[in-house]
Amino acid sequence: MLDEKVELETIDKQDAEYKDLLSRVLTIQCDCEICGPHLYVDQMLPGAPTKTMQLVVARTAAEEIDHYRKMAKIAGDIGTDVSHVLRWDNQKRYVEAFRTNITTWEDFAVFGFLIDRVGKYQLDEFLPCSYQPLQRAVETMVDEEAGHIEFGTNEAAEMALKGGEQKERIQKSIDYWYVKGLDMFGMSQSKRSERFIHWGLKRRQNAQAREEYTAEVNAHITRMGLQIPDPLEGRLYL
Amino acid sequence: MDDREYLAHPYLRAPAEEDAMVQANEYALKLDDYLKDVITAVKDSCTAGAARLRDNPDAADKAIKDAEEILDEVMAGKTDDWIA
Repeated sequence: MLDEKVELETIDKQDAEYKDLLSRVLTIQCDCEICGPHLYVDQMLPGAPTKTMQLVVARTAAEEIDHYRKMAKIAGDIGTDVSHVLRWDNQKRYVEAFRTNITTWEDFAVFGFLIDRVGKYQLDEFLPCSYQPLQRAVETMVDEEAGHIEFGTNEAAEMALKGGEQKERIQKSIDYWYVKGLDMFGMSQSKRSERFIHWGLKRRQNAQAREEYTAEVNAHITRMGLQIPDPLEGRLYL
Repeated sequence: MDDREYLAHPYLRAPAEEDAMVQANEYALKLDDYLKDVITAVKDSCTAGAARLRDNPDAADKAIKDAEEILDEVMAGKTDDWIA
């Protein structure tokens, strides 16, 4: 594994594969950051249950756009233009989970609880990271991402606590997003994943990150008094 | 996305020459400046809206509307217009 600390000024000394993989991971990360607002701004900003929640949606969207911006800046500095993901509609997203829209408050909450949590795991891959500009950017993002997760988790837990129809709706939403989240970690047997680790651009295999994530979210779901969905049903990437 | 999809995607293709020197992308850098302003504007609207929620709900509504308009523009994704 590469243990060298690479800066923009020294990236030209790196192997072509290093630059290629860095460009790829930044492109995917940018797509993941901007896709959230594309999923929920249209319907959840006007449709959130209270004014306070509307402000939460707007603030969350601004923070995610800022995360996109930070990643896109790093990509731009190495010559990679990722602005196509700003122009894409949701059906074109790299990640299958984002080829949809969020139209209900429980989906907004569960998206924060489960999918933003995957986002946090993805960011954690870069802590540490051989490419120092990327590591420094991520260090400024993780607290905001944790805030999105906490909000979503608390909202989901409150709805589950109310029981009855509210609980059924939150269970249905978890059933939908749970497998999407697991798929977001990618194939367990990914050769590319090994190359990312080799170059110090990621620190865990996909399967390991997914396993840690699963243990974390299962504990939350159980505490909410909800059923853990079948982790294999409807999965695309195993 | 599996490895084959990664390799096939035109936006994720490998550089043409292995020894190509990295060069900053000007278009990306211009978008960065635009987005900085947008993000600040939305956050400012949210802060203003949150401060008026109790004493002046109309002002809070106005702040939410402002944030919505700015975000709708970003969601529309007309990046050429942003930096024109």
